[in-house]
Amino acid sequence: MGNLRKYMPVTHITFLIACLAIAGIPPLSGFFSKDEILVAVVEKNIFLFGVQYLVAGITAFYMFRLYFTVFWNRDKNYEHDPHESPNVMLFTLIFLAACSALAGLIPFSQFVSSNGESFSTQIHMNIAIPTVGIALAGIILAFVLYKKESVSPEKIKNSLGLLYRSAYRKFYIDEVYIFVTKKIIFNMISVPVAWFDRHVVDNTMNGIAYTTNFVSEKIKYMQSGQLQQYAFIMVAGMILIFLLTLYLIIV
Amino acid sequence: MENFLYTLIIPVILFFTFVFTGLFGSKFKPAVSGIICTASVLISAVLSYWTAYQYYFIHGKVNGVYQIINVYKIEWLKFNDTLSIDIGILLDPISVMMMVVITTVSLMVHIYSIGYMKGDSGYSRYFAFLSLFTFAMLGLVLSVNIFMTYMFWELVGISSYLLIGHYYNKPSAVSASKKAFIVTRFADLGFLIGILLLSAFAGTFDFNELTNPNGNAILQSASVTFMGLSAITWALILIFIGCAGKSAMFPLHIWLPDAMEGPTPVSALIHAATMVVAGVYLIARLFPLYVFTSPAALEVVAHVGAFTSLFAAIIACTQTDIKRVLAFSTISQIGYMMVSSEFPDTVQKKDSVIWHQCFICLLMQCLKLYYSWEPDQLYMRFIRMKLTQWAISGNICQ
Repeated sequence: MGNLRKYMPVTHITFLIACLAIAGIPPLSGFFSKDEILVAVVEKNIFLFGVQYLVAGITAFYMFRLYFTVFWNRDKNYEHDPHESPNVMLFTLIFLAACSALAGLIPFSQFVSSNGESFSTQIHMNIAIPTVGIALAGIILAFVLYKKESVSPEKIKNSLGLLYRSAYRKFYIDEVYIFVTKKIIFNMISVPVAWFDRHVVDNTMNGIAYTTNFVSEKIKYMQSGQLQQYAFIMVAGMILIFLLTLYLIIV
Repeated sequence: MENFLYTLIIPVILFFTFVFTGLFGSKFKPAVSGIICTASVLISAVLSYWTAYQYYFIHGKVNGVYQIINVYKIEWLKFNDTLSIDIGILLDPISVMMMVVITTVSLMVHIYSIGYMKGDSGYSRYFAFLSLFTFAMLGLVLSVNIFMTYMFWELVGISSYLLIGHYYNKPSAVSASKKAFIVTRFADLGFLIGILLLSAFAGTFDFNELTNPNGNAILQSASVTFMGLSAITWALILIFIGCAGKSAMFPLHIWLPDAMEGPTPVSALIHAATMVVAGVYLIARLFPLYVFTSPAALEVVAHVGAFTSLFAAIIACTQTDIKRVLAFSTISQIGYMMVSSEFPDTVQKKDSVIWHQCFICLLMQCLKLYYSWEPDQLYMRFIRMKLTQWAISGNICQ
């Protein structure tokens, strides 16, 4: 994929605006929010500020990596010619591009705050300039690597080695989840529980059913449904009880 | 005081649209359901702009302070004199702003989907779920009560599951939707326990009372401790786990990159508009509680956020699939927002929320354009092929 700007000019421009906005280039919206976050962070916790500052640079880099790879670069052979989308889709793109471009100019601090009172914010040059600086550095790095290709990304990839590979595999978090769920939870807990269920619980219940069945099988002939037989047994029983009582009284 | 009762229409109309399109959508031509849903979102959007105008510029401010307005509130389930679950609509600066953002982005996604989903066999089903999702998100941000938030939170979860799994005959989409559902469900368990713990001390679910600096919630909770942290800190950390699940914070972020299996406008809606900022929204909503009772919990939030943003940014640099890059970019930006929540002016965060939504939505939609050059009916197969091609070409480009 590459060189799409020829085929999709509107998409190209809107994507570029979005990338610039997310990289935090003034006066697009991302600049303002990033600035405010960083100003708030630097006063409280310098370590978090460092992390966030670094992330600002990385963000600019990966967005422009995407941008240069998709829209510039060499022409590729497409199976079908890429073409611009229908107007209904382009409308939403342009609307949202306008949002990301202009929304930073709305003074949101006038409207939204934690206690309902509005307060004013201003741009802090001592934070804003280095932040834009690192964003530009990220963009330039992406430009050098993916547009001009004067330094081969392949080399950097190889020199980073393990870090690159593990980041590529998303630091193996998915694998860790699979390991924990499959190997530990399934194998160590679920499988024994399933065995217990299948063998102990099931066999207990089956045993009860089997015993009941076996006993009923044996005694079912007593209930033949023949009235004569019942009457015979009843009378015989009565006689037996009568004789037994007689015997007991006499003795 | 202006009567804001008409704001009730904003979420409710979407619910009726969902029921109508869900039940009768197949009786009409597919385009009809698309138009009905888009029209109702348009009505919601216009009404929410009107509400925002009325709230921010005319009636909301009393003595220079924006008021919290309970537009509508009915008692739904009463436990005792103080503890009850209410259903209603709460307007304050944050919820009004989120309402505007959600309806706008949802409107854009609806309009976009009219073009994108053309010819799809599940057209009306898709639009019905889209309405349900928007309804759930609006209910979440407008809720008066943390338990109501929880109910809509779950509804958001279920509707995102339905949307991610839209192409249900595609195994990867099915497993992605299950993954999203199950991972967030685990997080929601933390959220539920957190709510119960919190309400056990505060004796209320109501946001007004929970966030009142002189209220019960804050006074009664500091005394009980468990493992060196006060009970309220535990409650807030547990609530944050719920937020982390929805907002894809490490280590619960794993569902988000896979959620790209859904139709692209859905990814835009889930990533941009709404679902992932629900967590940030909830932290912002409970912000006074975090600040006054438990700075330790905020520390946790900020550090998890910082770690996630760095972690996801590094991954994003190495991915070769556009959608994955954007997914990790989302995670990273949300982490950024979470960091800002350590610091007592929610404005920065909300600012960031709204910008982020605009960017990501835009990016997702741009992205979609690559797909749409494929007019073929065997569309999904081509996307597969394209993805592999890109992966390869991405590798070459590197």
